[in-house]
Amino acid sequence: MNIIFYLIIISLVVAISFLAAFIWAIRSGQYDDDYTPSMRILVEDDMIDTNIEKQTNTNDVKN
Amino acid sequence: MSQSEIVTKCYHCGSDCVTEDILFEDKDFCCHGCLMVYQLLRDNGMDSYYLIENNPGIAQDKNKNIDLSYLDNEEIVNQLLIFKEGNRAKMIFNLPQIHCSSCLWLLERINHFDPGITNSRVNFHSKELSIVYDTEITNLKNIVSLLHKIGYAPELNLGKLSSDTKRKDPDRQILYKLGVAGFTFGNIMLLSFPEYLGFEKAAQEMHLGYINFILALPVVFYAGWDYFKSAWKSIRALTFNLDVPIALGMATLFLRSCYEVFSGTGEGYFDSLAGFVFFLLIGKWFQNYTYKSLDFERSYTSYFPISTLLNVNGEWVSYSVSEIKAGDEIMIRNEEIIPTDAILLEGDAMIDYSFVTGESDPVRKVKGEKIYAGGKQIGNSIKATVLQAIDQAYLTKLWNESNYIYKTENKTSVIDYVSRYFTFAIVTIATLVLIYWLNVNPKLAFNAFTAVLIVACPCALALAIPFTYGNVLRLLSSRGFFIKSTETIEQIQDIDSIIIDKTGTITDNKNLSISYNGEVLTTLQSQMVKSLCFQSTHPKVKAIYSYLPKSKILDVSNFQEVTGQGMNAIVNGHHLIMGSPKFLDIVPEKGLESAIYLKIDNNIIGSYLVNSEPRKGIEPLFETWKNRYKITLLSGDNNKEESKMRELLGEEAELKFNQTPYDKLDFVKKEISEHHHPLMIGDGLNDAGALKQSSVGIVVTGESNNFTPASDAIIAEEKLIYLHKYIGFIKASKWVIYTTFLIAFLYNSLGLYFAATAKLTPIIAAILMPLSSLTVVIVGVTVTQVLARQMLKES
Repeated sequence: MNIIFYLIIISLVVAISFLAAFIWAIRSGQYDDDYTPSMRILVEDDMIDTNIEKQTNTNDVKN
Repeated sequence: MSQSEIVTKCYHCGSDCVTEDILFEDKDFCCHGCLMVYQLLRDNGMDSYYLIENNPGIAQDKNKNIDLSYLDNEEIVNQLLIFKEGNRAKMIFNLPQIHCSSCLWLLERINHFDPGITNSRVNFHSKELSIVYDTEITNLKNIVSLLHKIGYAPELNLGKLSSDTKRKDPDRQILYKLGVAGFTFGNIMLLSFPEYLGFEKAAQEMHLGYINFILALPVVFYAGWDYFKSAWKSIRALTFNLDVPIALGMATLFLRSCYEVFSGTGEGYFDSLAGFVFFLLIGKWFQNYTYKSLDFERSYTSYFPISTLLNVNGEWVSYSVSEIKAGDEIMIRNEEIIPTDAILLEGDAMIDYSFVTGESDPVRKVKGEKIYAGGKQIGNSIKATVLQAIDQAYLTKLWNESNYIYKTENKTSVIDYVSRYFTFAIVTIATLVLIYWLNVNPKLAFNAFTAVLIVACPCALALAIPFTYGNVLRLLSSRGFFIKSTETIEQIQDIDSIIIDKTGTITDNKNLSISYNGEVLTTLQSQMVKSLCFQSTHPKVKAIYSYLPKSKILDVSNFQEVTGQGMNAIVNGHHLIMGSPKFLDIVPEKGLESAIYLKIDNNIIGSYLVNSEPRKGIEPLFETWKNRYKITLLSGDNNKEESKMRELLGEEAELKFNQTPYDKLDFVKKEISEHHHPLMIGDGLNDAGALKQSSVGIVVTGESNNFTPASDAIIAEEKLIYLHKYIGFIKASKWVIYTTFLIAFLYNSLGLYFAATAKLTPIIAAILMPLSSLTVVIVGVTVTQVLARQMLKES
């Protein structure tokens, strides 16, 4: 029976650490803007390198 | 690309290249502005901007001459900044132009242009750009002018200076509370499992009840505490809103559970308690849906500029508008807004009051005449003497609180009405049950009494409005109709009278209709007229320009324009004159007094009559409203379009013309004092008072005007023609609420049966409460969804 008691305590500790992580996430402003990050991830820095290739492709199509 | 019959699209902004066609590196541009932005981006290695979306740029305003000298004034800059620490400064710009992922990409890499910018972040929903910069390396003026250059002119107006409109921290409280309630709900539920499965003894041995008790403390004293506060306030005011039975239920749940745990008689209802608070908070969170880029509380300050040119000992300097006093001499340039009432001293004033008074035609003013704040000067610079400070001006006084009367029967939500009887009924039933059991079996009396209070907890009832109306809000916002809150929905359901403005609301200032009378133009003549029209910025002339068939622009020489009167020039060797009859010195035909006449080489060829037309497809709107509501038209314009309006609005409608902003306000006051519930639809500053006073004020907004006076709802101008459907839908949603109330009552009665017979066990409570809430939420959301699909078809 004792083992269950320990398990309960462990599970509570884990649950509380998740709650703490959630509170930290709110405090750091992650929930203030829930839309822009989904767009930001689609436009990345390295596009500058790949664009030359793409541009020649589109030009080919045009001509 | 010689004769541009083929329409090419601008590589930068996607507009048609009609007037100019500039070829650069195989790409077409519609104007030099767009080409400049392209070159700027290219030189900085930023041209992948164009790969994210097609033609992402913002069309350049060709006639805009911006003056940013006021940003040299340190005091103004400090008032604009969010904070400044050492040489680090932060500014948040409103950029209504943000519309695609290319915008995001470009604006977040703005430091490629200006190394002084250390950080830039876009918030797409609120259309804001927050910038942190180093004051040693750059300054606000540079940043603003950079934004102008790349096509994102920030909204900088007087409203930005006052601290209360500055960024408020987003409300995170509800999220914290949701987190805490969700956490405890889950864990208590888990720890209650032994009991659900019939192992009460084991649960007791492990002291699970005590753990539950500790977990439940933050639910009652933190997450759900607001309900106690609100209930107490409501009891003291004797209004008995829904928070009273909620608080009563929560208190009973908590106290009875504590008693059971500490006396060792049971495990209590902590699981139901935590679940209850969690669901209520979800409802609250769902209801508080906000449109981040819209502002329902704007005052006149968001319309006026920050600075104006002031004469200080003979020199013209930029000066903060809020510090201008009576007697000061100011200068207003082309396209600038008059900051306060003044007397014209010098210059040719042509003032566009369409947004301020509703007059559709610009008004000519001569020296010595009064010009009112809010008008826009078209043409050359004028000088004027200030009559009073900005907050004392004729229009801005509309915002004075003393002008308003209280709206009668302010906000009695259905739910408050229901809850008054509900509270009374529950307390009565609980007492009757207590008396009954005290006589029959006193041992069970306490059990039954508390069980009634627990089970009657109006969780489902409390979730009906947040979810049903919250969903209505979302469904309508996706269709371009933005309502401030769920309370506004209930007020819309009560309206019985509709008051509507003409200019900019029924009529569309941008889509002018043009009728031509006279000789038919040859292709060459039409090309010449088009070339002449291209030179002017006058809105009517611009409309004629786009009315004429597409053709190449010819060279124009000796161009002369008298603002608001007419223009003449030599085109293709011919002498062209266009303008008012007075300008051409002729007697106009009847009905064509306000037409623009055309004269080529001393021959009157014809005339263009430019009129603002009612919006396309608006007829069904009034067709539906005619029989249901009392319709009144309040227009600041003269009655030249009376017959057209009469036809549109029906015989019964009341039509009032030449209304001042104060006349409009007084009319609404009269309606309210006669116990009507008026709905006011308007757009400009002149409607601001009436919008604020009416039961529901709806502002029509479009690209052309970003300013919306304080209101209860905002509608996109192209969606106005569907407003009757939206209002019909809102009225129908009331029946959805009644249905959900009925469901909630049925569940409550079932619970009461268990409670009154003293058979309510924690597991029944734990099943019944979420089940009833879930039913109500599902019914509320799905029925409104189906109704929306049926009723909001746009055809």
